[in-house]
Amino acid sequence: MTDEELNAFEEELRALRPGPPSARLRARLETLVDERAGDRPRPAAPADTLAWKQRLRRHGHWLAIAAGLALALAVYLWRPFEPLPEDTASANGAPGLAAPSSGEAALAVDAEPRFRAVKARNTLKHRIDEGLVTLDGGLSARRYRFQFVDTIVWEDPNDGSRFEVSTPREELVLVPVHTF
Amino acid sequence: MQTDWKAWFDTHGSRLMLFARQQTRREADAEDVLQETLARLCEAGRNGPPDLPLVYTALRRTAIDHARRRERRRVREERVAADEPIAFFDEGVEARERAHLVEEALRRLPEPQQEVLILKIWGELTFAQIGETVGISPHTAASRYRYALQALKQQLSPSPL
Repeated sequence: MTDEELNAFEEELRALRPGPPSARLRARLETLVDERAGDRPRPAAPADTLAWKQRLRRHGHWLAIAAGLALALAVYLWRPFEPLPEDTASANGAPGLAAPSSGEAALAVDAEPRFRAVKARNTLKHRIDEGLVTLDGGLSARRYRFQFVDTIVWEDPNDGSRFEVSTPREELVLVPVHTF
Repeated sequence: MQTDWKAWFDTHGSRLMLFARQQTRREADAEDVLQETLARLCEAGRNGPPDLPLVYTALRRTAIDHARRRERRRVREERVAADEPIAFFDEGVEARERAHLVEEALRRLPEPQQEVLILKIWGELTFAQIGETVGISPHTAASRYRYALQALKQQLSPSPL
Protein backbone atom coordinates (compact mmCIF):
# COMPACT_ATOMS: atom_id res chain seq x y z
CA MET A 1 0.00 0.00 0.00
CA THR A 2 1.46 3.33 -1.01
CA ASP A 3 1.70 6.42 1.18
CA GLU A 4 -0.78 8.20 -1.08
CA GLU A 5 -3.32 5.46 -0.57
CA LEU A 6 -2.83 5.56 3.17
CA ASN A 7 -3.15 9.34 3.24
CA ALA A 8 -6.37 9.15 1.29
CA PHE A 9 -7.65 6.48 3.62
CA GLU A 10 -6.73 8.64 6.65
CA GLU A 11 -8.73 11.50 5.18
CA GLU A 12 -11.67 9.21 4.62
CA LEU A 13 -11.55 8.11 8.25
CA ARG A 14 -11.21 11.67 9.50
CA ALA A 15 -14.39 12.54 7.66
CA LEU A 16 -16.31 10.21 9.95
CA ARG A 17 -17.59 12.15 12.92
CA PRO A 18 -17.59 10.48 16.32
CA GLY A 19 -21.06 10.26 17.84
CA PRO A 20 -21.67 13.16 20.22
CA PRO A 21 -22.09 12.63 23.96
CA SER A 22 -25.67 12.12 25.03
CA ALA A 23 -27.80 14.90 26.43
CA ARG A 24 -27.88 12.91 29.66
CA LEU A 25 -24.11 13.03 30.01
CA ARG A 26 -24.04 16.70 29.06
CA ALA A 27 -26.59 17.48 31.76
CA ARG A 28 -24.58 15.50 34.31
CA LEU A 29 -21.40 17.33 33.40
CA GLU A 30 -23.12 20.70 33.44
CA THR A 31 -24.31 20.00 36.96
CA LEU A 32 -20.85 18.89 37.94
CA VAL A 33 -19.07 21.91 36.52
CA ASP A 34 -21.66 24.31 37.90
CA GLU A 35 -21.26 22.76 41.34
CA ARG A 36 -17.51 23.11 41.12
CA ALA A 37 -17.83 26.67 39.84
CA GLY A 38 -20.21 27.44 42.67
CA ASP A 39 -17.65 26.14 45.13
CA ARG A 40 -14.85 28.25 43.71
CA PRO A 41 -15.51 31.82 44.81
CA ARG A 42 -16.65 30.84 48.27
CA PRO A 43 -14.29 31.65 51.08
CA ALA A 44 -12.88 28.67 52.91
CA ALA A 45 -15.47 27.45 55.35
CA PRO A 46 -14.51 26.35 58.81
CA ALA A 47 -13.78 22.66 59.11
CA ASP A 48 -16.81 21.98 61.28
CA THR A 49 -19.10 23.70 58.74
CA LEU A 50 -17.74 21.52 55.97
CA ALA A 51 -18.15 18.46 58.13
CA TRP A 52 -21.76 19.38 58.79
CA LYS A 53 -22.43 19.91 55.12
CA GLN A 54 -20.88 16.58 54.31
CA ARG A 55 -22.95 14.89 56.99
CA LEU A 56 -26.05 16.60 55.64
CA ARG A 57 -25.29 15.36 52.15
CA ARG A 58 -24.67 11.85 53.40
CA HIS A 59 -27.65 11.63 55.68
CA GLY A 60 -30.02 14.05 53.98
CA HIS A 61 -32.36 11.28 52.90
CA TRP A 62 -32.72 10.09 56.49
CA LEU A 63 -33.60 13.62 57.54
CA ALA A 64 -36.19 13.77 54.78
CA ILE A 65 -37.69 10.45 55.88
CA ALA A 66 -37.73 11.62 59.50
CA ALA A 67 -39.45 14.84 58.47
CA GLY A 68 -42.01 12.86 56.51
CA LEU A 69 -42.73 10.59 59.48
CA ALA A 70 -43.07 13.60 61.78
CA LEU A 71 -45.54 15.14 59.33
CA ALA A 72 -47.53 11.92 59.17
CA LEU A 73 -47.57 11.69 62.99
CA ALA A 74 -48.71 15.29 63.28
CA VAL A 75 -51.52 14.65 60.81
CA TYR A 76 -52.50 11.50 62.68
CA LEU A 77 -52.56 13.21 66.08
CA TRP A 78 -54.47 16.23 64.84
CA ARG A 79 -58.16 15.73 65.39
CA PRO A 80 -61.00 18.14 64.76
CA PHE A 81 -63.14 18.68 67.82
CA GLU A 82 -66.22 16.50 67.95
CA PRO A 83 -69.41 18.53 67.51
CA LEU A 84 -71.12 19.20 70.81
CA PRO A 85 -74.39 17.40 71.41
CA GLU A 86 -77.37 19.48 70.49
CA ASP A 87 -78.61 19.63 74.08
CA THR A 88 -75.27 20.92 75.38
CA ALA A 89 -75.10 23.53 72.69
CA SER A 90 -78.54 24.77 73.62
CA ALA A 91 -77.72 24.74 77.31
CA ASN A 92 -74.56 26.73 76.76
CA GLY A 93 -76.25 29.26 74.57
CA ALA A 94 -75.87 32.87 75.58
CA PRO A 95 -78.72 34.02 77.76
CA GLY A 96 -81.17 36.31 76.09
CA LEU A 97 -80.49 34.88 72.64
CA ALA A 98 -83.07 32.74 71.08
CA ALA A 99 -81.81 29.28 70.31
CA PRO A 100 -82.40 28.13 66.77
CA SER A 101 -84.93 25.46 66.21
CA SER A 102 -83.58 21.90 66.43
CA GLY A 103 -83.89 21.44 62.68
CA GLU A 104 -81.80 24.52 61.93
CA ALA A 105 -79.17 23.47 64.51
CA ALA A 106 -78.82 20.05 62.94
CA LEU A 107 -78.50 21.64 59.54
CA ALA A 108 -75.79 24.01 60.83
CA VAL A 109 -73.78 21.11 62.34
CA ASP A 110 -74.12 19.03 59.21
CA ALA A 111 -73.05 21.89 56.97
CA GLU A 112 -69.80 22.47 58.87
CA PRO A 113 -67.06 20.35 57.33
CA ARG A 114 -65.04 18.21 59.75
CA PHE A 115 -62.30 16.85 57.52
CA ARG A 116 -59.73 14.51 58.90
CA ALA A 117 -56.82 12.76 57.24
CA VAL A 118 -57.77 9.19 56.50
CA LYS A 119 -55.05 8.06 54.14
CA ALA A 120 -51.51 9.06 53.24
CA ARG A 121 -49.30 7.60 50.55
CA ASN A 122 -45.91 8.29 48.99
CA THR A 123 -45.56 7.36 45.34
CA LEU A 124 -42.13 7.08 43.76
CA LYS A 125 -42.44 8.58 40.29
CA HIS A 126 -38.88 8.59 39.05
CA ARG A 127 -35.47 7.41 40.12
CA ILE A 128 -32.79 9.30 38.22
CA ASP A 129 -29.21 8.15 38.27
CA GLU A 130 -27.19 11.36 38.09
CA GLY A 131 -23.88 9.57 37.92
CA LEU A 132 -20.74 9.90 39.92
CA VAL A 133 -19.97 12.93 42.02
CA THR A 134 -16.96 13.83 44.11
CA LEU A 135 -17.72 14.93 47.64
CA ASP A 136 -15.86 17.60 49.56
CA GLY A 137 -13.66 15.01 51.21
CA GLY A 138 -12.58 13.63 47.85
CA LEU A 139 -14.83 10.58 48.18
CA SER A 140 -16.71 9.37 45.15
CA ALA A 141 -20.40 8.67 45.31
CA ARG A 142 -23.20 7.92 42.95
CA ARG A 143 -26.05 10.37 43.19
CA TYR A 144 -29.66 9.28 42.80
CA ARG A 145 -32.56 11.70 42.63
CA PHE A 146 -35.86 10.25 43.82
CA GLN A 147 -39.03 12.09 42.85
CA PHE A 148 -42.07 11.35 44.97
CA VAL A 149 -45.62 12.55 45.09
CA ASP A 150 -46.98 12.62 48.66
CA THR A 151 -50.73 12.41 48.83
CA ILE A 152 -53.02 12.90 51.83
CA VAL A 153 -56.71 12.02 51.60
CA TRP A 154 -59.08 14.06 53.77
CA GLU A 155 -62.59 12.91 54.59
CA ASP A 156 -65.58 14.50 56.23
CA PRO A 157 -67.19 11.74 58.31
CA ASN A 158 -70.47 13.70 58.33
CA ASP A 159 -71.19 13.15 54.69
CA GLY A 160 -68.28 11.05 53.42
CA SER A 161 -66.97 13.77 51.10
CA ARG A 162 -63.27 13.49 50.35
CA PHE A 163 -60.48 15.47 48.80
CA GLU A 164 -56.83 14.79 48.14
CA VAL A 165 -53.78 17.01 48.52
CA SER A 166 -50.75 15.96 46.46
CA THR A 167 -47.33 17.49 46.91
CA PRO A 168 -44.25 16.74 44.80
CA ARG A 169 -41.08 16.00 46.75
CA GLU A 170 -37.48 15.22 45.81
CA GLU A 171 -34.82 13.33 47.70
CA LEU A 172 -31.15 13.17 46.85
CA VAL A 173 -29.36 10.02 47.91
CA LEU A 174 -25.60 9.62 47.76
CA VAL A 175 -24.31 6.07 47.68
CA PRO A 176 -20.60 5.88 48.45
CA VAL A 177 -18.54 4.28 45.70
CA HIS A 178 -15.27 2.61 46.56
CA THR A 179 -12.58 3.31 44.04
CA PHE A 180 -9.18 1.68 44.01
CA MET B 1 -21.86 24.90 32.72
CA GLN B 2 -19.16 27.55 32.76
CA THR B 3 -18.63 29.15 29.37
CA ASP B 4 -15.02 28.01 28.95
CA TRP B 5 -15.88 24.45 29.91
CA LYS B 6 -18.96 24.51 27.68
CA ALA B 7 -17.00 25.65 24.65
CA TRP B 8 -14.27 23.17 25.45
CA PHE B 9 -16.73 20.31 25.75
CA ASP B 10 -18.53 21.35 22.57
CA THR B 11 -15.23 21.13 20.73
CA HIS B 12 -13.80 17.96 22.25
CA GLY B 13 -16.77 16.10 23.72
CA SER B 14 -17.35 13.83 20.73
CA ARG B 15 -13.75 12.71 20.31
CA LEU B 16 -13.36 12.14 24.05
CA MET B 17 -16.54 10.14 24.00
CA LEU B 18 -15.23 8.05 21.11
CA PHE B 19 -12.10 7.18 23.06
CA ALA B 20 -14.17 6.41 26.14
CA ARG B 21 -16.36 4.13 24.05
CA GLN B 22 -13.34 2.34 22.67
CA GLN B 23 -11.95 1.88 26.16
CA THR B 24 -15.14 0.61 27.72
CA ARG B 25 -17.28 -0.80 24.93
CA ARG B 26 -20.55 0.22 26.54
CA GLU B 27 -22.29 3.56 26.31
CA ALA B 28 -23.20 3.74 29.99
CA ASP B 29 -19.68 2.79 31.05
CA ALA B 30 -18.18 5.27 28.58
CA GLU B 31 -20.32 8.05 30.01
CA ASP B 32 -19.39 7.14 33.56
CA VAL B 33 -15.70 7.03 32.73
CA LEU B 34 -15.77 10.35 30.91
CA GLN B 35 -17.75 11.99 33.69
CA GLU B 36 -15.45 10.63 36.39
CA THR B 37 -12.39 11.76 34.46
CA LEU B 38 -13.69 15.26 33.94
CA ALA B 39 -14.81 15.44 37.56
CA ARG B 40 -11.30 14.66 38.72
CA LEU B 41 -9.72 17.08 36.30
CA CYS B 42 -12.25 19.75 37.14
CA GLU B 43 -11.47 19.24 40.82
CA ALA B 44 -7.74 19.35 40.26
CA GLY B 45 -7.53 22.11 37.66
CA ARG B 46 -9.04 25.31 38.94
CA ASN B 47 -7.86 27.33 35.96
CA GLY B 48 -10.22 26.10 33.29
CA PRO B 49 -10.25 23.07 31.02
CA PRO B 50 -7.10 20.92 30.85
CA ASP B 51 -4.93 20.04 27.86
CA LEU B 52 -6.34 17.34 25.65
CA PRO B 53 -3.44 14.84 25.97
CA LEU B 54 -3.81 14.99 29.74
CA VAL B 55 -7.50 14.21 29.42
CA TYR B 56 -6.82 11.18 27.22
CA THR B 57 -4.26 9.89 29.70
CA ALA B 58 -6.63 10.39 32.62
CA LEU B 59 -9.48 8.87 30.64
CA ARG B 60 -7.47 5.75 29.92
CA ARG B 61 -6.45 5.35 33.58
CA THR B 62 -10.01 5.86 34.74
CA ALA B 63 -11.20 3.25 32.26
CA ILE B 64 -8.67 0.77 33.62
CA ASP B 65 -9.83 1.49 37.19
CA HIS B 66 -13.36 1.21 36.03
CA ALA B 67 -12.78 -2.19 34.49
CA ARG B 68 -11.45 -3.48 37.80
CA ARG B 69 -14.65 -2.80 39.62
CA ARG B 70 -16.10 -6.12 38.68
CA GLU B 71 -19.09 -6.25 40.92
CA ARG B 72 -20.31 -2.78 40.16
CA ARG B 73 -19.74 -3.39 36.51
CA ARG B 74 -21.83 -6.55 36.58
CA VAL B 75 -24.73 -4.72 38.21
CA ARG B 76 -24.46 -1.87 35.73
CA GLU B 77 -24.38 -4.24 32.80
CA GLU B 78 -27.63 -5.76 33.95
CA ARG B 79 -29.11 -2.30 34.25
CA VAL B 80 -28.06 -1.20 30.79
CA ALA B 81 -28.73 -4.53 29.12
CA ALA B 82 -31.70 -3.00 27.37
CA ASP B 83 -29.69 -0.03 26.11
CA GLU B 84 -29.15 0.36 22.44
CA PRO B 85 -25.86 -1.01 21.15
CA ILE B 86 -23.03 1.48 21.28
CA ALA B 87 -22.24 3.31 18.05
CA PHE B 88 -18.85 4.84 17.41
CA PHE B 89 -19.85 7.35 14.75
CA ASP B 90 -22.61 9.80 14.06
CA GLU B 91 -23.38 9.80 10.35
CA GLY B 92 -26.17 10.69 7.99
CA VAL B 93 -28.12 8.04 6.15
CA GLU B 94 -25.90 8.06 3.07
CA ALA B 95 -22.69 7.50 4.99
CA ARG B 96 -24.14 5.31 7.70
CA GLU B 97 -23.43 2.05 5.95
CA ARG B 98 -19.80 3.00 5.37
CA ALA B 99 -19.46 4.17 8.97
CA HIS B 100 -20.90 0.89 10.14
CA LEU B 101 -18.36 -1.05 8.08
CA VAL B 102 -15.50 1.05 9.44
CA GLU B 103 -16.73 0.55 12.97
CA GLU B 104 -16.99 -3.20 12.53
CA ALA B 105 -13.50 -3.35 11.04
CA LEU B 106 -12.16 -1.13 13.83
CA ARG B 107 -13.60 -3.40 16.48
CA ARG B 108 -11.84 -6.38 14.89
CA LEU B 109 -8.42 -4.76 15.29
CA PRO B 110 -6.30 -5.64 18.33
CA GLU B 111 -7.10 -3.27 21.16
CA PRO B 112 -3.67 -1.57 21.26
CA GLN B 113 -4.04 -0.76 17.57
CA GLN B 114 -7.59 0.50 18.05
CA GLU B 115 -6.63 3.03 20.70
CA VAL B 116 -3.62 4.35 18.79
CA LEU B 117 -5.70 4.74 15.63
CA ILE B 118 -8.50 6.52 17.48
CA LEU B 119 -6.12 8.83 19.31
CA LYS B 120 -4.35 9.73 16.07
CA ILE B 121 -7.27 10.11 13.66
CA TRP B 122 -10.04 11.47 15.86
CA GLY B 123 -8.10 12.51 18.94
CA GLU B 124 -5.67 14.49 16.78
CA LEU B 125 -2.73 13.71 19.04
CA THR B 126 0.86 13.51 17.89
CA PHE B 127 2.73 10.24 18.16
CA ALA B 128 4.69 11.67 21.10
CA GLN B 129 1.43 12.51 22.89
CA ILE B 130 -0.01 9.10 22.05
CA GLY B 131 3.13 7.50 23.43
CA GLU B 132 2.70 9.38 26.70
CA THR B 133 -0.98 8.53 26.88
CA VAL B 134 -0.60 4.82 26.21
CA GLY B 135 2.80 4.35 27.81
CA ILE B 136 4.82 3.43 24.71
CA SER B 137 7.52 5.15 22.71
CA PRO B 138 6.54 7.52 19.88
CA HIS B 139 8.22 5.17 17.44
CA THR B 140 6.10 2.24 18.65
CA ALA B 141 3.02 4.42 18.44
CA ALA B 142 3.82 5.33 14.86
CA SER B 143 4.43 1.77 13.74
CA ARG B 144 1.37 0.53 15.60
CA TYR B 145 -0.66 3.20 13.86
CA ARG B 146 0.61 2.21 10.45
CA TYR B 147 -0.17 -1.46 11.07
CA ALA B 148 -3.64 -0.52 12.25
CA LEU B 149 -4.28 1.65 9.24
CA GLN B 150 -3.14 -1.04 6.84
CA ALA B 151 -5.17 -3.73 8.56
CA LEU B 152 -8.24 -1.54 8.54
CA LYS B 153 -7.81 -0.66 4.88
CA GLN B 154 -7.36 -4.31 4.03
CA GLN B 155 -10.52 -5.26 5.88
CA LEU B 156 -12.52 -2.59 4.10
CA SER B 157 -11.22 -3.39 0.63
CA PRO B 158 -13.56 -5.50 -1.45
CA SER B 159 -12.37 -9.08 -1.52
CA PRO B 160 -11.41 -10.41 -4.98
CA LEU B 161 -13.97 -12.55 -6.68
